[in-house]
Amino acid sequence: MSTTNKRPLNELESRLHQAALATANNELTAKQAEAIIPDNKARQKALNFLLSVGYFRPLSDKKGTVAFRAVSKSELESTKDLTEEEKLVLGHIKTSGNEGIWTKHLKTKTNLHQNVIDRCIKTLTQKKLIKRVPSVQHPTRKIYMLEGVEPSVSLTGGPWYQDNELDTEFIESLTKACFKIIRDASFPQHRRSHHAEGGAGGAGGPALYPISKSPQYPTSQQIRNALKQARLTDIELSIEHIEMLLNVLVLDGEIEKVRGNVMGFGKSFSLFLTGN
Amino acid sequence: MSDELCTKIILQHFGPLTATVANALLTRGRLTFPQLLRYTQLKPRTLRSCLLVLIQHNVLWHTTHPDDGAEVVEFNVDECLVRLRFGTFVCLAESILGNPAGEIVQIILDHGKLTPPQIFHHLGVTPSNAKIKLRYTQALHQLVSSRYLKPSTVLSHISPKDKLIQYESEEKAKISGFPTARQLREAKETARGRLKQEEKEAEKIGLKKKPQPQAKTSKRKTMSDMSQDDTVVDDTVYFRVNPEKFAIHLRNELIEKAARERFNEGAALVVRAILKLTENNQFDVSEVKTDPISISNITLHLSSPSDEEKLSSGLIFSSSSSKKISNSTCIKEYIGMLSSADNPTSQGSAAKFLSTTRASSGRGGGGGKIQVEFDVIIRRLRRRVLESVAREKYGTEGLRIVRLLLDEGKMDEKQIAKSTLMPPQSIRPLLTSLSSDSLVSTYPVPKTSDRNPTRTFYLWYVDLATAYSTILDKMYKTLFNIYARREEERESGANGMVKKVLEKREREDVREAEERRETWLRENAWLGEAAMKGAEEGLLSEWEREVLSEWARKEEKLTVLETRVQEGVFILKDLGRVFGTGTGSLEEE
Repeated sequence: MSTTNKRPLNELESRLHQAALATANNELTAKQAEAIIPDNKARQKALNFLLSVGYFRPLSDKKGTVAFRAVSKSELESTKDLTEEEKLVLGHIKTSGNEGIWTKHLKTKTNLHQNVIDRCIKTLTQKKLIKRVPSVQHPTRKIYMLEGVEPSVSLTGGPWYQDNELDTEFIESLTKACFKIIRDASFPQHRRSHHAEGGAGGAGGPALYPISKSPQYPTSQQIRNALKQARLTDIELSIEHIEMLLNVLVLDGEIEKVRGNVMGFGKSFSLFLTGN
Repeated sequence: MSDELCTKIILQHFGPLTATVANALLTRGRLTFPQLLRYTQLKPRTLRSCLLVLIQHNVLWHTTHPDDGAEVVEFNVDECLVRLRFGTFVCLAESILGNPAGEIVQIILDHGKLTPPQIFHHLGVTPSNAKIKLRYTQALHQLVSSRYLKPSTVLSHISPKDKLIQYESEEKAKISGFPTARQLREAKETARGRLKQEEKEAEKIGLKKKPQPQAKTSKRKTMSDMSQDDTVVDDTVYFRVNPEKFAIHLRNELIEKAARERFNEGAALVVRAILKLTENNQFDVSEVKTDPISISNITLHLSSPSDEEKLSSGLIFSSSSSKKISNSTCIKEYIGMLSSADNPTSQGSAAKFLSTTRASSGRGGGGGKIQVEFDVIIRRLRRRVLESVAREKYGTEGLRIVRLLLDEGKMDEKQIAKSTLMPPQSIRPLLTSLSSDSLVSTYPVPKTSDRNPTRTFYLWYVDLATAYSTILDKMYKTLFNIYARREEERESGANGMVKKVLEKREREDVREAEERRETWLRENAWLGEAAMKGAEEGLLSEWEREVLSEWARKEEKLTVLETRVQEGVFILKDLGRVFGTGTGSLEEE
């Protein structure tokens, strides 16, 4: 893939390149190429040129059918100054997507020497092609991914992590809010203040809803909506996140899970009156 | 740990000589008389009377050694620990059956075991005063017939362990081939059942039923002529207090309290009513359920206005402002709540107090009958002790981990961190300290077949049996510490002044003077401050009174503490018998 014979693409070549870029995965099979340029010789020439300049990369699947992957112009621009090794490393980092790749894995995949890899990574980082991302699960690992890719949830740890550390205060404030929502729904209104102060120690203990007219215990979806309305946080919380919080409350013995009401969808949580 | 506590109890209840005997027996196991002589270095006569006292108070078992036929004595730890609860027994007897019963129980506790004539003698009841005698006889009859007192039999003085071993080996001999673990367990169970049956039989004979002579032992030949509803108390039988029967009251109180904490006063009232109505048929804390009882019966029991008020005030009906909700509706609501009718999951059924039997005998409408689920409740009570220990020592974080492991079984660190939403670096030290208290244990899962520790996963889980027995041990330690502290306060509190003042207060003249002062103050309470000034000096100085009241305050604090720890011990030990074990040890869960 030398860049020695530099000339702009001719018409046939650019047609092929455009056609490849237009496909979903930037790939073009030999058959498709044949459809675009029926003439055998012209097609062969065009493909060869594209391959030599680096606009195409040859691929072959298990069955042995040949396909080409198109490389966009800007992409080519950024990588054209790189050495072969750097390209190899970059390719692996690229395929790792938003999960990133650990340098150790990179080493086994590329079969390069550690020093070489280190050097490659250094230049690539300097060129702002890749970046190092911290991982919540493995804080000590050096993990790299392409610049401009948002790290996946498994790396950042979702909404519970702030600067790679579990944000316990944030979690605590949210669980408290959840608890309050559930408590308000589980106990009759006018006696609640009494209960909040003295707990069950009051004269007759708290008054309760009778079981036949039990209140509509909130589902996790309702709790999510209530939290949204309360504007406690800017972070988007999914149902799963809310359920994690509620599970913590269940573990603390503050609430308990009740089978979903009449229609049987969604999970309800009801208050576990006093940590019994 | 319970050994040291037992020695302390004996020391407090019987004095230093018996305490040395108890200590020797506790540290060295069963001993013959000559051996005891050597270890305690007491005079034979002293030792003999010590042993007599301890046997009289049911603290010692004696048995003949199976090999050489020598007589050996053994310490009965359970019986000794029950002594801590004696105060409660008297109080309970008084509140349930009235003052005479309380007095009888107290006399019996003071003397270990007594025959009815001896009881009357100690109470100072003379046959001449027929009215008083009748009252006490009735109280005694009631105590015996409802099993608050049980006859002391020959069997209750013989260590059951030998027999247990013998029966067990008999059962094991029946197993052909190599015995499986299950067969061994069954053999143990059968042996235990047989022993229990024997005990029961023996106690039945001892029970006074019908005036007809029983030629079983020479002890009982004559029968009392005081006849009440065709049974009488056998005058020749020695009676002792039956801690099991008193234990059901303690248990019922705990259950009622739990219902109050979980729900409210109304729910507690319903639970109490059911327990009260079935009380006569509860004899043992190892029962799984109460007898079934109909809702109408409960309603009838809770029909007084104050009960109704309590029941209805605990429930909020949305439209209750206009029409009055009937009492039975309220009770039904409470029963629904208590039997977790709104949560038909496994968690729900683990949290229930009551259950409904569906097999109602053809009477439609009222539905099934109600039972209290002792087994489920006690399981929860015990778990709650464990959880409160975890909370107390390791905060909510510790509690969260313990509860997670209790619910989910075995887990590794990462899973725990994920489910509890806690940072792994704070979980690790917490788990280590939890496991040092045996609240959690590790379960090794080797990656390779060589079981190399470095190639092994360690999963965390809660081993209930270990956790409970560790907690129980700690509780005994606490009780021991409370005793030691109390002793210290009495012996050398306020630079030894407490002891001196207490001794002074015991003097005849001082006591009389103080009593005079007390009555004067009581009679002239309306004078307020002036009464203080006008009062007789008494023989104690102001300062001495201060020392006394300070000491009394400390004593009270210690007693409150002791009661709380006792409650935990009761839940873990006595209620633990529900799940097997006849002799109250914790070996099986």
